[in-house]
Amino acid sequence: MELEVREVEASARPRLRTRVDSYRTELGRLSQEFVKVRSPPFQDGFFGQDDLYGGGVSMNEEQKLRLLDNSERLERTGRHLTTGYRIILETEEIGSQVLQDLHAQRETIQKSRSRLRETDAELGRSSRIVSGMIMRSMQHRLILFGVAVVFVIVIVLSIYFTFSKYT
Amino acid sequence: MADNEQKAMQLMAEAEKKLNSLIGFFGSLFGGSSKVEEAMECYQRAANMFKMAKKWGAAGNAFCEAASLHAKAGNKHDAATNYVDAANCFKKSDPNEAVNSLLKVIEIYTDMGRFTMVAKHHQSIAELYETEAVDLDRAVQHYEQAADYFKGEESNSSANKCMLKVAQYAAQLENYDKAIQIYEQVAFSSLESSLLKYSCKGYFFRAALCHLCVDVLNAQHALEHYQELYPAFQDSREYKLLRVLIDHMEEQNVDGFTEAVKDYDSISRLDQWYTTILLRIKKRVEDNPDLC
Repeated sequence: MELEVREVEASARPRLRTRVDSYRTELGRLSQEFVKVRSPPFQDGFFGQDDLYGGGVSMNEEQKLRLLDNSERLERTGRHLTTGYRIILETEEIGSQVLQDLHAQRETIQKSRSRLRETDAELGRSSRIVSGMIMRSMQHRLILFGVAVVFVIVIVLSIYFTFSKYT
Repeated sequence: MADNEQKAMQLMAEAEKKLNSLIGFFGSLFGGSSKVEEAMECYQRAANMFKMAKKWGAAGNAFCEAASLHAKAGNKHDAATNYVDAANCFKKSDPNEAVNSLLKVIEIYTDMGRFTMVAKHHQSIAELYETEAVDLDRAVQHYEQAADYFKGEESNSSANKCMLKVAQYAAQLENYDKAIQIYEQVAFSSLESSLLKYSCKGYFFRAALCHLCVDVLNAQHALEHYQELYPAFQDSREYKLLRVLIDHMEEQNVDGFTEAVKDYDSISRLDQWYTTILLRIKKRVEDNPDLC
């Protein structure tokens, strides 16, 4: 950037130069911050890889604690995951069992339905037969009545004729 | 409860008296049928009293008497129901008597043609032989008969349930071919139903294990065949376990075998049947060091 500033025309040079200086100070400040942040202490437990393995810088107690904490957390998470996985597998087993039961019940219901339909048809048939029987019995009764009437008339007529013969 | 029992004994005596009073020409002419019906009713009430007093043996006997009277009078339905009640009472005291009653029920129902009930009772008998009077051979027999009747009545899921039990016991009794056949048949028919296809991988796993008991090469061919038919089988943990087991078997690596099984077991428990079969496979590996 400095080279470019030199190439630019004289009128714009001071403005651009101030800009470059401000960038430089900014850069210096950020690198200081960076260095400060890389070395102890942090808030969220990340540790700088270079500090740890780069040799020359020894681990603090806090870093050790943080390491243990993290590994414990990882182990716990791992255990939760396996338990969750186990539960899911059991759920799948139970689910397939439920589906099988449902299938069996479906067949039972279908069969009951067809049996009910048959029963319905048979009941209709039986009611028709019974009404037919009732009709026939009424017919028989009428015929019987008619025959009885004719019989009575014949008797009356025969008595009448026998008495009329005497008189 | 004791007085229930006494009442029951009284009723039994009454019923027997009624039966005996039928001797005599007039008795059978006039009140014959009503006497028999009354006797039947007495027997039934006596049996109920015995049930209340928890005397299962006596209750069963009373039901049997009532049932035989019904059978003589020609009421097959009532006879069958009474025999079923008798069997239920005997289940709690004497399994063999229960089996006898159920066999009589089966006779009656086969005469009537109600094959679904016959199948269900065969299943009950088989369950009795499975649990109380442990006799695996006869249990397998009855399960097979039940499955045949169920198939005849088109209740395929009940038939499958019975066939699965047959296969389980067949494998336990080392009749691997039959077990393989049944598992494959059930698995292939379940593939086609959208409800049942999620249990297919269980069936394929069992069939493959039975194959392993017989011959490793067969098992490999079978696995590929299953994979073609049911692509999701590949992703399942059972398939991976089977692959690992086959590899270890080919290398005669018993420790790796145990390791893989323990691994699988830590996540989803293997029940007793699986452990038996896996132990047998492991023994095969140990016994035949030059199995290639």
